[in-house]
Amino acid sequence: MNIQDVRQIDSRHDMIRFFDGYSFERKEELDERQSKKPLVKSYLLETRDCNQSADLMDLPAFFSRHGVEITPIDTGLYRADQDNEPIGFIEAIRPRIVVLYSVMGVQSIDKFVHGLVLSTPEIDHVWLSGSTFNVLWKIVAKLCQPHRYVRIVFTHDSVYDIDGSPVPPQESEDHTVPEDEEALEEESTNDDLQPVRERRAARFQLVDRIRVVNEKLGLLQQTYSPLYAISQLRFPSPAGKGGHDFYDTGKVTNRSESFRDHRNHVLFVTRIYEEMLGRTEKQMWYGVQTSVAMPGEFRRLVGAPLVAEFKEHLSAPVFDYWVESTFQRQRNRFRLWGHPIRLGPTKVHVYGLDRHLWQPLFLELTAKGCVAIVPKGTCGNTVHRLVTNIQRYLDPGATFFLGDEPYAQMVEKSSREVSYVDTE
Amino acid sequence: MSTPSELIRDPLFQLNTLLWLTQSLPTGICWKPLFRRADFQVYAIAPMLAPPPDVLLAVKESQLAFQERCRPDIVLYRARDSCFVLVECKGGSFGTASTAAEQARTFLIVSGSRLHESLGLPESDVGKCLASYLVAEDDMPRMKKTLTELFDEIKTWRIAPGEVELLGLRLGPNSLSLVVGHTLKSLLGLDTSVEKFLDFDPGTDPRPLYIVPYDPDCNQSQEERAFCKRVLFERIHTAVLGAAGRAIPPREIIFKTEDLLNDAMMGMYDLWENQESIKHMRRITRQLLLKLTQIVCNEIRGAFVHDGDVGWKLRLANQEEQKAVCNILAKFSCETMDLKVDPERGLFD
Repeated sequence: MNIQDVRQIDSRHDMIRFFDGYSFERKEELDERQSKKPLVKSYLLETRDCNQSADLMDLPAFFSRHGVEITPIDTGLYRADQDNEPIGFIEAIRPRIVVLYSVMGVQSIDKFVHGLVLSTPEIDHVWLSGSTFNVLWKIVAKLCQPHRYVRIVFTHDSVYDIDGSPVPPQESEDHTVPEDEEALEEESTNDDLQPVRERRAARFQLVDRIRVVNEKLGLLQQTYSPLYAISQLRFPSPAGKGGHDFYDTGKVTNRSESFRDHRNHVLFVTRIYEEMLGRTEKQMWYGVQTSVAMPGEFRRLVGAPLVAEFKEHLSAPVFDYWVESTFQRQRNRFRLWGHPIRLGPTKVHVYGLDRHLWQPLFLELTAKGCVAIVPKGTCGNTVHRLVTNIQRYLDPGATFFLGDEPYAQMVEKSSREVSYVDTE
Repeated sequence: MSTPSELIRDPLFQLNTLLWLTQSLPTGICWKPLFRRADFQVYAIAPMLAPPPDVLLAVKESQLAFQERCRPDIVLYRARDSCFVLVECKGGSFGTASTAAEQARTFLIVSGSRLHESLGLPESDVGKCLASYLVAEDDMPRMKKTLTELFDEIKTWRIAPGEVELLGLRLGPNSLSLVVGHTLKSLLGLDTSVEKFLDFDPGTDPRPLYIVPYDPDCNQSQEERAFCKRVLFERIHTAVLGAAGRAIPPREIIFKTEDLLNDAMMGMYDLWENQESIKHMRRITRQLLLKLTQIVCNEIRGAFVHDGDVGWKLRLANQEEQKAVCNILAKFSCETMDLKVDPERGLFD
């Protein structure tokens, strides 16, 4: 990012014009297969003030604590610098969600965002689970012309189901992708030296016309469950060729020529996600509530559990490995903490914590599924991360419910509350 | 850990079972929420209910042994017909001469035609009401005999007790069922008087996640009490570690015993009236917190201390100290404590 260019930007209008021009140039380069500079990327981040009951965060104070200087340039819009070098722009697009726009190289900015999220419970990724993407895909199918191309990436890595003696998986705690965002993970050049370990892992992309995908995907998913584990989805741009690639951690890459269109899509999905958060918390938060509608001091129990039903039941060794890897390692993929109480060969109770947000989460884990109770105050993000990780690492075809309502239905309802218009 | 046949006699298991039977849950997975399916919800947990003064006077004149008020474990409510079901969980049956019978008389009287007054509601807001005891199926015959005797006895004194019917827990081969009488069968819309609500795997403890983890007032085996204490301790431990992890240093976090207990009990600690029980819960919480302060202070001197006037103070001077404190707390498990032993009474007890 050119420092002079960026320093001259002093309004939202200027920022949008800057990124619009930049996106147009990058799209031309992409069309000519001569990409010279990184693409515009947006990172959706859920914020929560840990010291106050209000959800609104003091953004300058927060970023300052993490070595990032942010300078207000417009209402809810800041320029972000680290070590006097521009990182990008941070926009508070919704009360609980900020977005970082950047044109830094993907490895640097991925590392920066990932490090920021890992370093504090005040901020988290926006977690778009496979189930959420399945609903978003239906929106794409409705929104776009059937002849347009859609790109979907499926990722399922059955890390707990290893043929042979279990070897601790590399607990990276993240979902970051390589520099070339479109490249699928390639075989390591040193693979000849690696021991043979077999486990189910599926990561592949599907690019086809929306009409074709719409006809076939549902059938394919019923046949092969890793196809439920959507980890990336492209919203084709109505402004021209290309589109906006949404990742399951809330990263969005602009592969269209228009930043305005990119931002509109970011706002659209953000509003759906925020609606999902609200619904999840309203429905799930457990607690004893004193109702003003009830005379006296009677207290009633409110809340509903998250219930996951695995499509394929886990074998006892896989169940044990999952529980062991999750609760005996500080750095684990589910980012959970607790001391499991063993209640049977494939049943444990954990009165534990979401180790990222440090919020309580009570779990019943079995070979057939999972029941989670979220005490009042625990962020809805904890639930969406759990759903994302179960689909990604345990059972891509798992079905989820908030109380008796299917999770997918809750996502659909959330999306219906949001209109597909410029939400600026 | 208790066997399933012991577990269905544990009042806290019974209460949590009842709570799960009122939860919103998907069809065909885990628990079949029989009460929820019939549109019942939890109206109140352990509400204090007393008969109206004139009824109280009549009971006093009767010279029946009774208590002035009662706290049914749970009150269920259905809006569509304003139906109330008051349930008391019991580990075993009791006779008419027992202390439990004194409580039962009040329970039956409160559940009568004047329930609306005890609940503080207009008469029109209370339709049908039913008093019920949840017991293991084996205890139902003796319990039924006792309740019939108490019911008739109260009626002799021209006081109208509420309708009473038993709820039974039946343990099948790897399943749990609810055994109901005619009235509850009709209220729950069941086809049979025995309805299965849970299948569990062989060799597996059928208990659900405990919503109410601990109740010092209920009669439990030593093993069950230790299990419930562990659940309570896990939750308090979670609350302490969570607060330490969420804090932004430098910060001093103050933990109050009552707040920790309320968090761990989802707000139900405030409901306890029995002073001995309150003291007991505070004492066992102190047992855990003393252990936590000890393990933290072993590595970071003075970082977690008890200040009599303020509460338990956890000092997080900087991020390094916070990280160290969180690691120490995370490594500790209350499983390492002897949970069957309750702490001695302290000087200020």
